[in-house]
Amino acid sequence: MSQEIFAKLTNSLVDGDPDATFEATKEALAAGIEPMAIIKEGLIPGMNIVGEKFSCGEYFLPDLIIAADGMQKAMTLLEPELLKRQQAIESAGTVLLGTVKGDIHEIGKSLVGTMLSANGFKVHDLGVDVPTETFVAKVQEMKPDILGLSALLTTTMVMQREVIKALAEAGIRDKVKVMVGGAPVTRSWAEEIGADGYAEDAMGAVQIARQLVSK
Amino acid sequence: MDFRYHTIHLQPIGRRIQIRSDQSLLEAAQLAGIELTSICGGVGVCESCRVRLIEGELSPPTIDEQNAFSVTEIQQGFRLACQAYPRTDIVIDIPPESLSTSQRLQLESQQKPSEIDPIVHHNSVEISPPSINDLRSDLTRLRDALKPFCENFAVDYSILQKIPSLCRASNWSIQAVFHDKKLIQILPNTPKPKILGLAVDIGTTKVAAYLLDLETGEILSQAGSMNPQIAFGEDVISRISYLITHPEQKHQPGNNLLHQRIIEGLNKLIDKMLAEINDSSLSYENIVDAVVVGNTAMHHLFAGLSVEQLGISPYVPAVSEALYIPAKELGLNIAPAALIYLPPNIAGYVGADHVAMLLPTIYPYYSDPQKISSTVMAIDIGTNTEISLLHNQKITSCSCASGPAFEGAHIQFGMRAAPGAIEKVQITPENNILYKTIADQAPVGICGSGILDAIAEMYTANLLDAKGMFLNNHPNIRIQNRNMEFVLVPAEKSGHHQDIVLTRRDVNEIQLAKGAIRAGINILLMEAKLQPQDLDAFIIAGAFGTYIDVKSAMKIGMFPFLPLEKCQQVGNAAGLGARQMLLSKRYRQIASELSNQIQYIELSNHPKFSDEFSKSLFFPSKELSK
Repeated sequence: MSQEIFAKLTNSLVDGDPDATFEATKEALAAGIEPMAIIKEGLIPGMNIVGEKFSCGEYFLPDLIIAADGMQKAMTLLEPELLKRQQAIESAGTVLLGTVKGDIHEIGKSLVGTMLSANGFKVHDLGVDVPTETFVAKVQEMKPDILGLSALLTTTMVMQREVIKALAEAGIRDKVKVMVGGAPVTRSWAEEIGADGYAEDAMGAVQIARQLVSK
Repeated sequence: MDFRYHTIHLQPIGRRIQIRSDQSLLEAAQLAGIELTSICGGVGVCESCRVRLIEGELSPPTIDEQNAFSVTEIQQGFRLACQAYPRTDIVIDIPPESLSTSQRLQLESQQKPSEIDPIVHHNSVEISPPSINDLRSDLTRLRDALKPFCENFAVDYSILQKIPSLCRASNWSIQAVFHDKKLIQILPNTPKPKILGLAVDIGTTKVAAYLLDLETGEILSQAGSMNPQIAFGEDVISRISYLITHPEQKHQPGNNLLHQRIIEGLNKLIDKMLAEINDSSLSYENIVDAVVVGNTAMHHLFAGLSVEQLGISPYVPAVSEALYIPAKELGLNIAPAALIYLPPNIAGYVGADHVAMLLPTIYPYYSDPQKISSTVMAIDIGTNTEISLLHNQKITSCSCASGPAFEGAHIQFGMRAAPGAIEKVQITPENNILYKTIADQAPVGICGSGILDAIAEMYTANLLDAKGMFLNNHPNIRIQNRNMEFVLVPAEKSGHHQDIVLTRRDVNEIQLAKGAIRAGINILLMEAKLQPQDLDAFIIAGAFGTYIDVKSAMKIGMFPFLPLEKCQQVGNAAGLGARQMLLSKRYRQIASELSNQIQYIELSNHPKFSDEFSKSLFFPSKELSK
């Protein structure tokens, strides 16, 4: 019975049908399935399939957005239940995320945030056009495992280097793993500026984040 | 033997093609369906297939090429396409003279400017020649003769230099041209003296230029070309980033390769237009006034101003007020002392071209007491799309990064509107695919209006879902390397014997572009607390906007569903506005007034933008179209 509902949850995300995800989540709760199991067995596998299809060029931005929408709809039902049970979603690690100074592109960075949250990371999103000093201060304050820096313009990706430099100057470069991403960012750029990780897309970011926290 | 494959970007057409390292650039162009002139058939003799290398590495120049080009030309990257083989991925620029068919360019605008009261005026005078009893200086003599028309005028230095020789050569009968109260040109008197004005619209992709008779307002000649800066990047940001990453191209602030290329390009257009008028009494010296419009980056690159700050948020222009720049400062080939007028910019991404576009579109409503309470939206679709909304006698504007997909870029078989481009597509209820190409040639690719039609038709025929996913229910839909594609034209019917397909990736590119445009429309409406149906008129300007099927644009959700009688496709309104400002100083005043009162809305940090953009990526419910 529960296997059937899990499959329903997973497929609804893959098919991009947020209403079906919402209904399946309701059904699962009504059937007495634990909210944590719904997330782990039903929703996360769905988000990961969507992420993989995106990575290999079979899915595109609208598919990701609609899957994230389904995930969010399900969480509106699941969060109160988790709270009732005094359960917290097990954290795979904490990630501080933001788009660098001078750049106001939101969507790519937010999708990375969604995929990381879906995979159990605790994500703090600092938003867009984030000054270098803010990244440094927030790393000092929140001590995240990972700092994610997004840049969508060839004119602003240089700020990723500035943030890494500023972390070093503040003496905290070894306290946090830095991953970088964004349309113009490449692996060789990430290596050149001394980042710890680079991923081409949101799904890749999850894999890199997992690797970085296990190091 | 083992061959490597390289991607060749063919600019300014915007086609990409993969070839082997043993295939020449000429073969690349031919495979891509581009008719590069090649009279000798590719043996390096006729020297007609000239191209210019922009990026990447080619095989070294052959003896034929060393004979065909000067040392400087070789250094500038000029090559014969039939002699050059790729060693890496390559970007080449094909000069217009190397193309055997020209691109279709948008020059016509619907209306003609009616008001003629230019800022320059001219007077013919007979000057009494000096004698032993009259020792006045040449300039004093000129001032005295011109006293009835203009007193205490300033004299441009370059005019001062030529007064003595010109007065004597023209037997003391001259024509003086003033810009307001400054003497900017003297010409020998002719029976029918003509003074000309130049109006230019510099688009990110295309340039349109007009030569006008400043007395009659008549267009004497017009010419268009691709923007020669395209080879350095298809959109504004990539051109700015080219300058940031190639500091060696900069001699002094603003004077960079991109500035030089646009000035050279415009000078070629001026030559071409003068040649076409074919009147021996007219030369560039007769062109005594000019108006140049463009988006803020094009404006800055033309004017030789720094653009680096436009590449990063908060995207501040170097200057927003209207400018007058002497032609000789920029090297533009018109009368050297002529003052080129650049209308005001509104913001980093809403430039003087949008101000120009508002003059023939929004201003007629704004200025008419009968119509001023109308609610009107005007949209200029391009690589950057600017939108303005007139409501409650106020104008709000925004700019959307729609990208070059409608110009055919980033679309597998995308191309600009040139012969052989599919421009209209229809899918019949029997699932037959009908299409029309420009100049009715065998299809080689698909241009913006064709892509729009194809997607709208596929969605209507249930071959696509609202996400843009292909539904596998048509014999022409197939899976290629895990990607869905739709065969528009099979190889046996295409001009290059390859299948012309539209992929899911292509559809996604259009979704991104139309999503950005629709998000801009929605946010302007939202800020004014309006619904689409509150619009009294919806004006679509720009070259692409002229050729599109508005119904298709509504079906894919780029525009809201509106009664077609409210929609007007007006062509190059920015070019028309530029001509109005050339012919009438009052319009320059209006441009400044409009730009001062426009409220600019920055979309990228608007709290609703992400939401609206995400929603607008999807295709709208088909119920709405009924």
